[in-house]
Amino acid sequence: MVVLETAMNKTLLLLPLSLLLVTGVTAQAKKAAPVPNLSKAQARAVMHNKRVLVVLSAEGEDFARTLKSNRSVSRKLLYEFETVAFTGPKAMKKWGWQKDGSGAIVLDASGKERARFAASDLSADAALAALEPHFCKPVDADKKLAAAMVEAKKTGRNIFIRFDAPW
Amino acid sequence: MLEEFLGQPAVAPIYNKGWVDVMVDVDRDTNGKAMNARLKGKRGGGLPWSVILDADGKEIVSSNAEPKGGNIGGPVTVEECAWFVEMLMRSSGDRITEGELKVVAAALEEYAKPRRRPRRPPPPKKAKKSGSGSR
Repeated sequence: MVVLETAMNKTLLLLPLSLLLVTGVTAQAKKAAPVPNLSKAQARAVMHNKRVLVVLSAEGEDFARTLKSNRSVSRKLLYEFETVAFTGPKAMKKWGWQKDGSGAIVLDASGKERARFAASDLSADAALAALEPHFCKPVDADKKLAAAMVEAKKTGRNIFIRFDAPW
Repeated sequence: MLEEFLGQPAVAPIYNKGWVDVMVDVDRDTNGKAMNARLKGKRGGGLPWSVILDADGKEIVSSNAEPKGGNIGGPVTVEECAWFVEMLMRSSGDRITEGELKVVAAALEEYAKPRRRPRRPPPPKKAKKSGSGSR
């Protein structure tokens, strides 16, 4: 268990910036057209211990906006998910969306699908109940630091700790 | 902002060579808020806040810029960027060369510059009213 946790912490420590590097999260990327960037969302999900929420909007709808305006879940969306939004039949086909209308797919940070929901499953108070089982388990900051100290001693590096919040 | 900068292709290899990166979410990570309070102590400034520790957990430098002590947060202004580079310089040990630090400094300048708000020109000095001097 301890070994598993240490391995997990190492992964959490080492993966994120490498992933950001591999996926090319650069200032240039930010300047580019606002194409939904799944790789970037996944890299951020690894870094921040979150899931990815792929929001699929039917033509003429903005389901991502609808979800964000749902007060029972909007804060949790920000805290627990990296959201990427796609619109239109082409995107829906690409995601194998066979339900009528808009919806959302929950992925883990590696891109593995965990669940998919029709818009009706995510309406009002139902949204939180549906999404909550898919939240990541919290990570212990003290364990992160302990793992970083082990890593720092092993590699002769110092530790750069960045404190931030989802908002 | 800082995360995106540190992930840049020119910066990430240098950063990862010199430092072990730890991101703590004070709202979501268990004990995150307590660790922030513990390491920050009575120093001012909100989030983001950063600190560099040695492998034994002893602080080397923080994002509270000397000598005034204000938190640089995600560095954008010239002064904030200068302190960020100073943080790296003070904690780079012998793993990072001066040339590599210059690469990071140049990349930070390039990254931060478009994000800077233009400085307001100082208010014009009030012209002395004529006749207000000594007679």
